Amino acid sequence: MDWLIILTIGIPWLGAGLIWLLEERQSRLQHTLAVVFALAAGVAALAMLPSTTEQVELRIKIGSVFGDFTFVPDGLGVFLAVVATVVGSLAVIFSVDYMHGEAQLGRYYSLVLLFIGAMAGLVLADSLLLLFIFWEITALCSYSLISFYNDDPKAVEGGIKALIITQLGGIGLLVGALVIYAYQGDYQISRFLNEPEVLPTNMLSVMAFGCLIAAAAKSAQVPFHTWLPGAMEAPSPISALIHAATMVNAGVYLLARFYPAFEEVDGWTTAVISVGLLSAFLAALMALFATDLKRALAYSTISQLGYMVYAVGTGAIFASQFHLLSHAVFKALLFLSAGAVIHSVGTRDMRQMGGLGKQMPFMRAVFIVGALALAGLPFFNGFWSKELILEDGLHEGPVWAYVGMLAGAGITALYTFRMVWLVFYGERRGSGHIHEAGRLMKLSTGLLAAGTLTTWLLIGVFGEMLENTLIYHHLHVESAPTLLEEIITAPATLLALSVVAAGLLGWWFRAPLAGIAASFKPVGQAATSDFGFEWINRRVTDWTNAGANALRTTQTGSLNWNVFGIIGGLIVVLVILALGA
Amino acid sequence: MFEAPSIGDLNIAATLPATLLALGACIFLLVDLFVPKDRKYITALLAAAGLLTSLVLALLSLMNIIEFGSGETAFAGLYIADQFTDVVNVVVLFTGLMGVLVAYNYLDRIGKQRGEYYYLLLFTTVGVMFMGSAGDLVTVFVALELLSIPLYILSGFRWPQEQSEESALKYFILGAFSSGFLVYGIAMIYGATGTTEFRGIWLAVDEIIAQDLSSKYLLLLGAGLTLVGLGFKVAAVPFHMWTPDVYQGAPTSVVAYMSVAAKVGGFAALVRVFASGMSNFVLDGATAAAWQDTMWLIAALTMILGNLVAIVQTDLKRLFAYSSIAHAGYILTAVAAAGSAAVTNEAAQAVAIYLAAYAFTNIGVFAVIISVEKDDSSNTGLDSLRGMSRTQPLLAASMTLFMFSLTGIPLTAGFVGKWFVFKSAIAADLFPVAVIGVLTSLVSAYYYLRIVWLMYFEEGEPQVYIPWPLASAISLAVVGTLLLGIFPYLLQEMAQDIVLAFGR
Amino acid sequence: MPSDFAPISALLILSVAVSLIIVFISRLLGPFHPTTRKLSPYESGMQPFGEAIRRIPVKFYRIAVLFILFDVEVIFFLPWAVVFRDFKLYGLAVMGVFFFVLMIGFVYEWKVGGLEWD
Repeated sequence: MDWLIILTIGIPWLGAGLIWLLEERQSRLQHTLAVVFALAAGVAALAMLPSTTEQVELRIKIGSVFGDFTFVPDGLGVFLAVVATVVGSLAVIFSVDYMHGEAQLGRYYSLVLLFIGAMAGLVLADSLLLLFIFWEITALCSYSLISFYNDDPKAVEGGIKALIITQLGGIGLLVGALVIYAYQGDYQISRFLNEPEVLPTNMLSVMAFGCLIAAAAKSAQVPFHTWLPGAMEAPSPISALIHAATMVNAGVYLLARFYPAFEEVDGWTTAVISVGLLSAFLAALMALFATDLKRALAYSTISQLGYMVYAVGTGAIFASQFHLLSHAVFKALLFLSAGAVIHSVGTRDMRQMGGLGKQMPFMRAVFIVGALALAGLPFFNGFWSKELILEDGLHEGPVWAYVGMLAGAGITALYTFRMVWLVFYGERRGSGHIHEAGRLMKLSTGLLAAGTLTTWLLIGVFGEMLENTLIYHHLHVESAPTLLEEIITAPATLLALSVVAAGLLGWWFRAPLAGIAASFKPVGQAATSDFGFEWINRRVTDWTNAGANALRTTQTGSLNWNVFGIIGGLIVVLVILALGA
Repeated sequence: MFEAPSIGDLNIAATLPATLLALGACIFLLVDLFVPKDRKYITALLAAAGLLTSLVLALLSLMNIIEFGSGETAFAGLYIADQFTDVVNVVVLFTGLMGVLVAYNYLDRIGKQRGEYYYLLLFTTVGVMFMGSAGDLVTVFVALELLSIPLYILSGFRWPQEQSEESALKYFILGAFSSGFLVYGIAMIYGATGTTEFRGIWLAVDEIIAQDLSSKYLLLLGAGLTLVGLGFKVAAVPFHMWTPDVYQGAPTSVVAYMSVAAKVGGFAALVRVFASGMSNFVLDGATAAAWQDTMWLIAALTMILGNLVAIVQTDLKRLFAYSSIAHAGYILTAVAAAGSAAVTNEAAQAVAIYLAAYAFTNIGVFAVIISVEKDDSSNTGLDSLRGMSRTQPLLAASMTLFMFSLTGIPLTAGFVGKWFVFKSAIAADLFPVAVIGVLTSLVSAYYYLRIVWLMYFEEGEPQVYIPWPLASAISLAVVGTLLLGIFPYLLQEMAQDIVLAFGR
Repeated sequence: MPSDFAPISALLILSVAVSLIIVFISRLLGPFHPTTRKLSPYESGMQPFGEAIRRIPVKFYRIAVLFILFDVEVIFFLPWAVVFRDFKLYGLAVMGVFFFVLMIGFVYEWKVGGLEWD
């Protein structure tokens, strides 16, 4: 078992190193090596599945400074490692066609493989410090890959924005690690979950909210979500892998992991629910008005992550992680097929597309499979997991949040159909030759489409695995048939389905409803301008700059002023000392 | 009747690395008089050899391979030879060696190749060493002057260039002014406790607290004045204003050395005076030493102002002046943490670790600046690094590493330093300061990464001049930054025996 | 102890008082015939106004600094010589170190020509 952990992290990193060393013109070898190493990592991760455990399986002693680096391959960790490596392999396979003939392939594949290894490490690590280090490595990879086309200023800007916002979140995690160390003496998460009482209440809440900030920044939740749309400058396989299926899930993972410890913190669950609700609802609206295909998908990712965060807030850890699985599969599918479309059309603007279904029937088919799962239509994997979240939300969470999430589900259906229609149906609005996607593109999207249709069958196995190994969460998951039956027969499902149907009908009768739509115009404008969050971002950087400039004027070189500063400082020092006495 | 001690009682052997270097500096001064003008490399070599010898001795003592002398005190309590002394010695001797390496060709280029440079540098180094090993306030003061006066001269080494002269004069006037505060503070402490020796002060403070004597007010005044005097040396806000002007005006090779050495000396003295001498100065109803609040407030101000003002700088030397102010703030956080009795030693260790990590990185940064600077001391703007990754990939990579280290990104020395500092702050319940520290490091990422950006994403053809001594200095800095970052326990092993608090 | 400072404060008060008394007594008892010349700061006829900053050759400063250096040496040597008997060899060694450092400075200044006027 310990070897499997090392292999899962080590194989991709070894591959990254090898590919980095290859020369630029050996591009065939680079493609092949990347696929081989990614697949090998996937196999290693899958091999961990049968033997998940809550015990520390791997302990690396690295001297006394940072404690032991420990790994616990429990159900949650192994499951996410599998998602990271398997979706990673598919994205790499897709890249063989997508990145064909691009320059600097070595850098691209090295970073992707480095990312896959770090992501697997992040979810398997049991030392909070180690988790933080992996967390930062994934952020750095994400930054470098967003800015992969480093001669494009928009790509560079998007990368730096992503780096800075996720760094801000990293601070929350670092503070958490320091707090745990200060009170517990090491960084072991499992020990902390077993006995969160070692922290005084106020420290526990500092840590809980620190982690919430970290998670919100990483998972692109309101108000830290603004980096994700900017990250869409990355090559499409990267968007599929990092910004839909894996890295953005790290935040949800963090919340789920620490849920048992933070559950009792005052106001924490409410805060988590609110963050989830706001993200799910607002991002869905933004997706509805987006014109850039990838940005629309990015907003939809924020929205779906909002569902998972909401589920954690209501205590539905299983539902949240199950939706994470479904979402990883169908969103990767959507991004990859969108990537194939963009690759072929040469633009990301949906207003330039339309009618592409005729030239790209295969991509239309798989995209629609993904879209139906996203909308939550029955018997696709998205349906089961979303219904599970909504059902748990109805029973465990507050009603206001439930209503919001339900409305979000309706909007989701609406924007999904709008997207499909704009891209694949109607009349072609752009020009230029369209070619069908390459073989390997078809292979990877086809596999993902098959996954979208089938992963919900794993519900029982998955539930059992989590129940057995997440001992601190005290989960109780029903057997598969009971669960499925419950979902189908629950009144919440019918309610949700009718909302989805309403969304669908809304799109169908969009012409007669145009009058009503017009009255929503202000909402649309607000949504296209990102509800002012972008504005806040810009103001924060502007204010920091203005503050720095203002402070600079106090830094004169005049001696008189310097002496005055010293004496003023002395007086202040003495006053404070005197107050203490 | 006065009883003269015997020379053996002085335990001079314990001070070997410092006294040897002092003696060496005196002798080199004489030797240099007979070295012809065009062969000053002889003096440079002698200085380097002297520093290296002392460094080896200090390292042997640090690793407890050889113990010089017997016992921890020498010169009847004026000098303490403990683990902290060894760490400070190693750091500053290494810095001195790097200082000679970066200076030699630079002095040639600016036409100031004079022997004085090297032995003044040695004298400063000796001053820092004595500051780190001070067992008495008198030693602190004398060492401070020995550290400062050569630095005043070195700052003006480029006369008759006006900027350099201005920087020397400004440094001298403000330095003399703040030394006055230090002396006054020492006098007050002596007035309150009746001694200048740290152990004696510590015992007297215990008594003052136990009996609630009114001399505690005198002691408070003394602590405040001392804090101002030493705060000037380490460039803490609001005593920092000399830093940007002096750094910009002084020759870059001097800045490279003094940005580290003066800080090491100042912090060593701060730790000795406050953590060692007055850590038990806990007033009624308080949980930590009386000076802790002041200290952390200054630390917070220093971090905020240093990092914010650095954002808007366009000159590299000024930018790193503010960056060095900001780093002083991080170290002050640990000094403040030393005010809580339970963390005194841990915090002192954090200070030592941070200083070691900072030394490698910061001297590397200034070495890179020296390589792009023109002979007339122009071209130190941010633009001078533009596009460096194309023409000088190795240099750009080194600079990137230094920037990462200063930002505090894992696997670099800077991260290890910050880690220990914030850890000690949280252990001392100084939670807000730790958060301010972490947040301001995020701000610092902005200007550090902008430099990386300039080198990698902008067009430009920077001209650089890297003779082998400078190249070897940069390589040493790179190796050190990486080594300490990847094997942090090197630093921890080095620091874990530091025990400064008396009576524990 | 604060009480130890009592004699000092007594001295302080006394000296202030005495100086004040002297000033006022001479004013009370002495004759007082002010003239312009008598009220001027210098009665010797020196013109009190003019530039405070005047250029003086820097050589004077150099000599002054050197003078102070050797002056300090004398101040240091004198008390040492008085108690030399009690210090014995230790005293000789310590003064030897001081003298060595001082002599280095002397040799340096001689060699770089600091003692020559032109």
